[in-house]
Amino acid sequence: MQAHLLQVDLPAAAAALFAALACALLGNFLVLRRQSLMSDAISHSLLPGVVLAFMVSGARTSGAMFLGAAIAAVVTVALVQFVRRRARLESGAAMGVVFSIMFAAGVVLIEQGPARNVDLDADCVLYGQLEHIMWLAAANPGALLDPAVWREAPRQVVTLAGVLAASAVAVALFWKELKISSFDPQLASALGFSPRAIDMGLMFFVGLVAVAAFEAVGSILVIAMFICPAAAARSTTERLGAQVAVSLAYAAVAALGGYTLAAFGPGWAGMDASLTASGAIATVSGLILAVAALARVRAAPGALAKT
Amino acid sequence: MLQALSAADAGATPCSVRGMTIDYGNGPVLRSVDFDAAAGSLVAVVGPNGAGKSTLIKAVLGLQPTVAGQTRFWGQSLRQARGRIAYVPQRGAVDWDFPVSVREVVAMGRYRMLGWLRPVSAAHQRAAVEHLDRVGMADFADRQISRLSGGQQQRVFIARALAQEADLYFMDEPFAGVDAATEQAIVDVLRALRAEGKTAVVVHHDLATVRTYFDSLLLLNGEVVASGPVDSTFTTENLQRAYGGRLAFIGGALAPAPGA
Repeated sequence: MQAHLLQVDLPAAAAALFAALACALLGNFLVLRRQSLMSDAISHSLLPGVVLAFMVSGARTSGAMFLGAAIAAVVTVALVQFVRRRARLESGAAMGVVFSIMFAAGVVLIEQGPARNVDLDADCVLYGQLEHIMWLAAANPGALLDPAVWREAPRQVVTLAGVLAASAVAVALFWKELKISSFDPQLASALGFSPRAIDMGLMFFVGLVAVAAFEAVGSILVIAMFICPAAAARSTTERLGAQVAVSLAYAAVAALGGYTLAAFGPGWAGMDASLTASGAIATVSGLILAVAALARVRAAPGALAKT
Repeated sequence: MLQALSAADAGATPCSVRGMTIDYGNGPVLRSVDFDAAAGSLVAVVGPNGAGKSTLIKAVLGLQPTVAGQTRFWGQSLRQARGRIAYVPQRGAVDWDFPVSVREVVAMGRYRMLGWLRPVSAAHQRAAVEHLDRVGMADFADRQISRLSGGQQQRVFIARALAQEADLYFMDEPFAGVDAATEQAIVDVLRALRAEGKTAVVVHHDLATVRTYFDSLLLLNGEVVASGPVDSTFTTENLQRAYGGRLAFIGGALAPAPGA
């Protein structure tokens, strides 16, 4: 039981937590820029990038996947802007068109040729495989003191920790730039802070986080992680700093609460089964958002009338 | 600040536009606009809806692609002069529900002085409050911006432009939908800027106040109808050319204009 906790539950919960924190952090800026759907677009559009990287490199290595995903993210952002301008669509429609076509291309590719022979399948892409992340070396609590055991920490968890740290550093460094370009892109531009460059940088990180997280929680549920905590925090705070802090707290509650519910909930209820962890996390995220929205309506009945 | 206006550019025009043409793809919105804003002048940009007033300001500031034309500031490019130019967008251009305080918004006017990556220091925070005081809003520094009236929001935008400590100000409809106290506060600011030898180019919609608030006029309707001192350009004939048949509706407002 104790070994199972360390070998299975600890790495899976850590992956969920890191993914949720990284997504929530960047999600704040997507929500404020009314670009929430961009996380949806990017996380779906990663698929052809990842599959192509896979077919070219022939291996499921982080490096190739990240490169493919980052390229796909940039292509997506460029395509969305192109479609919006040329087809004169509103941005939501432009994103919808681009990501559904990119995702479809990914689905076609994944069933073809070399990609077929490896362990990359549609289910994993859609729902993730949180339960498959294991840390076999951590057989007992004493093993945690052994550096060699840490070197065998699961690749996904290490990647997510790295992406989370990189995102946190980037957001801290560019805090003022993110704030002004989210609030008033025209002023940002007039002051010489290129909002387009800041936007591209943000999307690059959204792509990084999405690809790191999608392995763990899947491309559909990653969207809940990007949007729900930030949207919930948005409706209950009045300062950007507070909003980000609260969103991270909500993300942690959703990740750890959702995972616990999935792993142990059925057992507590006397059933011999487990729930899908990523599904439980997304559900808890949604509940937090619903409660925050209702709390706001109670606190300020006019809040809904105001756009 | 004063040294920025020193000898080198004493004779140079703060803003000089030549041959500015803008086209969104359905025929030109603005055709070959030539226009100069003199140092120490308050310029009203006036014209009917769709005349291209906001578009012109955005194009001058490089926020709007142009088909042709160029703008020089004190003889320099936008890139070189950017630190001396402030911009007040239309109030509706931003999300007033955004989670920032009044002070934070005004401090954004200091960002160019800070440059990339550097956080807002205590000195700049204090400067933000001082500029808020100039529009009578210092008491609201810690308020969330959605908890302000429309006029107060406009004054915050003006304070943010003042915080840039620029020499040339572009304001897009600052008087639109504001209360009397705000209108007076903005007029006071404009006059103070003029007294300091600074220049303001203001998109304005109220023909009744053009003569009292401004020295110069740029009358637009897809192209320049008239430009120059208010006394010689703000004539019924020019307005009729700019507004066409619509002038009838505003005739009453114009009545006191000659010699007022």
